[in-house]
Amino acid sequence: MTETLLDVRDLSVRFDTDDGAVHAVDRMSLTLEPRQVLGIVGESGCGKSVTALSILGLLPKTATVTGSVNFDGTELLGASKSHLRKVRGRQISFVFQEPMTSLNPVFRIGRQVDEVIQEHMNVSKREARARALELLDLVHIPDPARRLDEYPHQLSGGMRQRVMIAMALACDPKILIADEPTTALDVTIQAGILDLLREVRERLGTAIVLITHNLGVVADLADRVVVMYAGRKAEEAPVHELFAHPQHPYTIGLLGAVPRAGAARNGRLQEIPGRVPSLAELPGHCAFADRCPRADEQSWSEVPELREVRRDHAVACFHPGEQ
Amino acid sequence: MSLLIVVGAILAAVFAEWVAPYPPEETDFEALLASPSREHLLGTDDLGRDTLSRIIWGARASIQAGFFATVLAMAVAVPIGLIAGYYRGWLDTVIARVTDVLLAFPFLILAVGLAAILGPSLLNATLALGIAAIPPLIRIARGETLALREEDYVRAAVANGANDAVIIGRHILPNMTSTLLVQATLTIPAAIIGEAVLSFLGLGVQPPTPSWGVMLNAAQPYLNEAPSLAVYPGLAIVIVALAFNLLGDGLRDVLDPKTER
Repeated sequence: MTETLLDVRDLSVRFDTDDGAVHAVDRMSLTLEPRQVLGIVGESGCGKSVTALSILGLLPKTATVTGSVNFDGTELLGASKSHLRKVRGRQISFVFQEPMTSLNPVFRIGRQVDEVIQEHMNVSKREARARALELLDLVHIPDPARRLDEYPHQLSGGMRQRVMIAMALACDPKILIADEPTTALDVTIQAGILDLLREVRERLGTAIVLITHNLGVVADLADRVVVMYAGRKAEEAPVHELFAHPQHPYTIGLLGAVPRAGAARNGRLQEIPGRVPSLAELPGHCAFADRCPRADEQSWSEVPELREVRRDHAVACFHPGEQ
Repeated sequence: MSLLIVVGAILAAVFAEWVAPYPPEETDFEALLASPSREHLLGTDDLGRDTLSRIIWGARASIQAGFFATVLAMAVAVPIGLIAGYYRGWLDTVIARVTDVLLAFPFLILAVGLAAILGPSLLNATLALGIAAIPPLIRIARGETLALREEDYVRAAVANGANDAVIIGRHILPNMTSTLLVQATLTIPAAIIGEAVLSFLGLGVQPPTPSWGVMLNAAQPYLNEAPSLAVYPGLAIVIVALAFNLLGDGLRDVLDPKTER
């Protein structure tokens, strides 16, 4: 086994709201190796973003986080604010979903990139600018010198997302967490951004955590996939294994819902019946039971634990299997 | 247009020595309560002082009070609003409630009360007006901060390791400047009127120093014989305050993308 860069153990996140506790994430464990791309897949509200945010302590104060997040040998959960700040952006950076609003509208691009660089590295203004040029070049922004002097509104969504990635890469982080990086962009631009992320991994050796609800994106880029459902890990496997031999009925349902050219002869995508359970009142049985064709008495009375059913392929289901 | 008036009024105030035809306190006993003439374009008052000159000199007190009161209010209110809105918590609750309580008092009542405590003088009137203008500005700064801290670029900056000072100074403050600027142009006329009120009541500029409020007060006994003595300073107040207000409206239209032009 290779060394582990990020080791998340039994991470649980609870939000205490006026309507009671909401268990957004329940005993999640993740590991990330250097240069690895880990895809986290799930429906909206399944806890994938919360998992990512909790790694860097970015959740609001109403959240209670337990478990352990070990990054490169240091514990991040409960680490001091100043320590976390040093990790954020420098060791682990974030790229968010909304490129249209993620840049400060009142400053030129160049100034914003410069600032990120100067914040984390002890360099002069001129060196920062040189580095900013290099970064924009790295993320394939044509004519970077001119772009540096433009305001965010002069750039397209794809360009802005490239700028965001450039800023995230400013300090050669070990991990890049991309939270739905392509969701807000149209398909051709998506492909460009995914190519860019792939290139980042190849050239800089950055490990990437890719959060998405789009299995196509995962298939394209990830090495390993975690499928989340209702705050828990439903299935985890290397990407080829998962797509070739999905075990959890939820994963199978998700794969059925991916549109493929020529595949759906009856003109209709397979959907998963029912809806995501509310995280406020998680049942004492399998959370997927009411939507699952395989549910039986055991599913309705116990919570399935994660177990390895094939080599390096874990699933939380009493009735795993490909069909 | 409003910009011209505002600039003109400011220039007149700054260069009163050169613009005004007579020193403001020079008396001309040949012409007491004179009607407008070539020597005295707007006539003279009961002591033979040139009304036009006194209005020009009076602009100095008014604009000084309006400007410095606003600067003072901004300097105090904006940091408080930023801190309250950014850090939230019990401090924010305290600040917001105290602001609400102070907002229950009309601006002028608050200013008059404070000026009465501080004692009459232009400096104290400016202080009183500035302090009275703080509560609404705190509310605006806090409200803007609350909205801006939820912006994606702020969250992105936090995620990538920016500290609080950078976020407040670089991301939140610059994005609220247009709102603040508009608010300033609306606070200035309020303070100008406030200065006139305070001076009229004897809580601001003291006679014989000219100020529009002082002139209005001095004109009271002669309302029948020489109504123009009250009309001209009154007009000056109306025109300048209106000009600032219109300028504020105009600025808002230019700076706020939400309003259609």
